[in-house]
Amino acid sequence: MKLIKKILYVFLFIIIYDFLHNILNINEVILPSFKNIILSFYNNFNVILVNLLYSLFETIIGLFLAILIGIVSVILINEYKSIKKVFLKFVYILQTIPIIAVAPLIIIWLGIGILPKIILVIIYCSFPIIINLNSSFENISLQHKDYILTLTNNKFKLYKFLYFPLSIESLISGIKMATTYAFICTITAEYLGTKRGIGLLLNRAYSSYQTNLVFVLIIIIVLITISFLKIVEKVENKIGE
Amino acid sequence: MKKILFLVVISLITFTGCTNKDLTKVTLMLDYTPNTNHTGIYVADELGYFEDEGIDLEIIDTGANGVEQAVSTGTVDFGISYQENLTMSNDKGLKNLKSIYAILNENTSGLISSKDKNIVKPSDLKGKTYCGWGSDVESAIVKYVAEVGNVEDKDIKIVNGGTDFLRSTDDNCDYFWEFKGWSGVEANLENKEFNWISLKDLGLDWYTPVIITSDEFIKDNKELVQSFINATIKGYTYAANNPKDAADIFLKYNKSYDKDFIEASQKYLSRYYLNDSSMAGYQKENMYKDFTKFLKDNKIIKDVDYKDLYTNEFIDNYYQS
Repeated sequence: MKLIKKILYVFLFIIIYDFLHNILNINEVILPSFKNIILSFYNNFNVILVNLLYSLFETIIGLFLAILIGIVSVILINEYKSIKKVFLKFVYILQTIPIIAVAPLIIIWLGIGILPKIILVIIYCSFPIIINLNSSFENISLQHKDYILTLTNNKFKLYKFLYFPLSIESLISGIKMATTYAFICTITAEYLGTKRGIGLLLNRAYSSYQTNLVFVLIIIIVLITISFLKIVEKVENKIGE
Repeated sequence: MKKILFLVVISLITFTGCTNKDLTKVTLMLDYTPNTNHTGIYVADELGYFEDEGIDLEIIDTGANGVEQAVSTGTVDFGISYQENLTMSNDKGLKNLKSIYAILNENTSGLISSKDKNIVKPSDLKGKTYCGWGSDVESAIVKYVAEVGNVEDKDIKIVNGGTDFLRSTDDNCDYFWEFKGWSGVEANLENKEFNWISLKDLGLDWYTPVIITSDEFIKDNKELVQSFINATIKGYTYAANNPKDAADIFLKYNKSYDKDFIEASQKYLSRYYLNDSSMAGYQKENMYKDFTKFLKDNKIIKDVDYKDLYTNEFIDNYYQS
């Protein structure tokens, strides 16, 4: 019932929007009508699908590696405290550089293939994971640690029974933040140079006055990011149980 | 049975191996998102002109900046640039770049403005505001036009608008510098009335766009460059004579574009692919000499010898043979 209500509201919004659009005689290139946005989606469906799969591939690989690298590097700095300060400084500095400044450089160095996008996703998405997980590790009290160490000398067990169980919430909230960034990160990198992808379509649509296609792509980007988040939430609930 | 299968596989491998072996892989990087400036390339690819010349062309249409760097360092074999970018790159130290083909035989850019702004001739720029993206070349060009109309520097205003003629909703922006074959065509399709001041008519003419490569690439692959130019000339000549077919081929490679827009743009632009003597790609000395001087006079460049910027060698070879 709730779903029907939601759909009804969306429809109502679209009808009112298009009605006003028609009455006010707004230029399609500046602000397109929903009718044309849907038409553009229909006409470009195949092109969008191919490019979407490409972008999704880059994003998912990048995100997976970002999580992996994030976790591994936090374990490393937790073990080798001497590099911790330098490493964290480095991570913070990387984060202060806007992606539109880094992306063209990485494209010049590594070309326009998949690799530079994956690297950009790793740079920007491992950050929230590293920061969250690290501060959670730091908050684990020495008493806890000493207690476990009296039972076993195994590092692996230390992480398995102490660090990770107590940090799982911070880790997941870090992953959630990373997930929100990931797709946007890929698209921005693609906008600056790629062979395929939603960012390329966005660039072309904008430069050839197809504002309706720009809107289609925006809606797709929003939906993809929301679905990513939903998946992470599902996993979170599973772990919570 | 297994033996037959084995033979089939082997012959398939050798067969496909043979067809690919003869083709040399060549990369071309576009200057911008694909547009009707590039049609001849797509036509030559579609009609097999590149293949006939033994070339397997990869078109890199990234929308990325930095074509000049990529060609200069040899990351790509050929690139599409503009005479102004080429000249400025040379000034900045990328001395090994050379233009080998002018895609359009004259400059189709100009100052575009809404009809109600009443900017019909250069003297109308007085008190009006130009909106652009803040490059040195732009302000030099606006000042040039103003000078033709006897408008003093203090009476012109140049701001960074960040948008274009068709999408500007800011009433303070009076005029823009754009290409007639792209924004002019779209304005016509939208029934938006505009005034146009052509730069070429005011005596300011240069080549936009051109195909560039590096001196090292020419030195090491003279025949390959010739083959590439042969196919390119054929492609653009076909596109000049068959705008409708050419537009269809372009749309086949670039599926997300609007058909009416591309066809109209192609119809406008095709006539500029060939010069008065029906030659494609030829570059006149005057264009380089005068525009380099223009950039020097406006202190945009310091040290460029215009003769280093281009060569007609491959165009001449094609038409003489």
